[in-house]
Amino acid sequence: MSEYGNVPRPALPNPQRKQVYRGVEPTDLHAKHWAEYPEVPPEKPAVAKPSAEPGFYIVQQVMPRSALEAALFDKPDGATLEKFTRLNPHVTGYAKPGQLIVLSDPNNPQCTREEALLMEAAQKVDAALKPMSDEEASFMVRYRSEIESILSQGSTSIGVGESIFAKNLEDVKTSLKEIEALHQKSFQRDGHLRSSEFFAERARLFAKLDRQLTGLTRKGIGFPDHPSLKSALGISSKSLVHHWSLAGAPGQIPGYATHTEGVARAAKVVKYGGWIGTAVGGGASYMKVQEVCAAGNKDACEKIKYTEGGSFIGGVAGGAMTGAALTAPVVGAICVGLGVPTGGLGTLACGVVVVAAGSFAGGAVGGAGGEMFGEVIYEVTK
Amino acid sequence: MNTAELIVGGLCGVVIISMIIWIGIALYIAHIKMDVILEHLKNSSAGTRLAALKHGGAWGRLLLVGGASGLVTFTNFYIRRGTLSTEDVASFPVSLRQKLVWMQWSAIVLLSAMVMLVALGKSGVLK
Repeated sequence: MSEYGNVPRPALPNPQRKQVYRGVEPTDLHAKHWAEYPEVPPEKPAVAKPSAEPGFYIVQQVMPRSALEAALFDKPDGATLEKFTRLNPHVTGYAKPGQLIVLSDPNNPQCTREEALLMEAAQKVDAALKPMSDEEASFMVRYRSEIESILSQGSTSIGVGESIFAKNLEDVKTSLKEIEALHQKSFQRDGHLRSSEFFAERARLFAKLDRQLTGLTRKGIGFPDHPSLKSALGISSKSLVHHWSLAGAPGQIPGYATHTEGVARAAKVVKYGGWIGTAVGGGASYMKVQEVCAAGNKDACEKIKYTEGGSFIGGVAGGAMTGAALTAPVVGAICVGLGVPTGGLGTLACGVVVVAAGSFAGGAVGGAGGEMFGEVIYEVTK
Repeated sequence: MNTAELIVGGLCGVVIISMIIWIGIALYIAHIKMDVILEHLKNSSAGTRLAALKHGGAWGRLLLVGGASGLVTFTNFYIRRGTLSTEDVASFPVSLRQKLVWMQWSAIVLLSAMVMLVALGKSGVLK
């Protein structure tokens, strides 16, 4: 096809023999003629099509590579697929949930640096996902919003501690932070931050994120779909394409990373609140026993072994049971009753505090009961 | 230590041992019935929320069963708040529901008994 559209290549004038002026440039009569027909594009299609910036897609479920390509591209052409393969060397036989797929317009040769950064981020996410089984990874992607909701309602003081979140989200979080930094650099370079549309969009995104923090019905990861990248690549509307310029702003932590960070932080609180609490309780009991026994009184030493042992066992049992009895809606009701607004960090903090306090109280009561029981055993066996 | 103190202390022991047994039973129910429970709560937002605890290890399972038993015991409270769907309540297996209701009430009884016994023992009225 010629550069003038679907017309035969026009005849070229003979090369000039001398550098002298020979009148005006020759007119292309073919182009002039075909331009009168509306079905023939007057310009190159590639010139008319605006090129889009790179974006990314988060894999939602285990699928073979061919199925992923079919899901992402409505009409894949050679150039698109070739670029897709080049940008995603980490996707081998099949795609793992949570994996970051780099997408870029083959007609846009200017974003190679961003592409490289996105590819690097994809590698990091991949490394973070490596220790997870497919089931765990798909669980993480699928239940992210529910987990956030649980944590924001604080139904658990000790619950998710052993879950995959505390173990792996730290790594995923680091990777996502780098994606954030990538956004920021891009904005700083392009200088698009002062426009009123940007502020409006950001306010809308923040409001959206705020809703999503408590929303149970949220699907996907919560980034907005970007229409232009989608149309440029021919990506089907059922896919979530996260255009990075819609996803971030320098100086503030938006989007994916905020949520992931919140989950990781809360999961950490939960983990250490539960297990370290237990360990500290056990350690304190042990220290107390050592202290009393070192003082030399044999009777007191014997006695405190029983009372502290009972206190520890009672504390664990009471704490665990109170945690189980304090279910999410009850805690939510308590937090609403305390006047903490729904959604956001307030609810998260309130939920964690209420359950932690409840569990602590339950543990304290159980510990006191255990101490009394230990004393009885000591008296009886003396 | 007088007789009253011995009795209260002994009862504390009974309650603590019952609590440990309760935790064991809850973990056992989680082990064999977790999928059944979640299957019959899938129309409720509270149920999907509990499903996230599935991979939460032993404590997560404990909380899952605790949460589910609260849901099926105090159905009206949760239906009014919109987190539990009426069809889930209607379709929930009767024998499992009875077990969970029993678990919830026994947890409440055990926790209150513990609070009362400790209050009694620490207040000094027995001396």
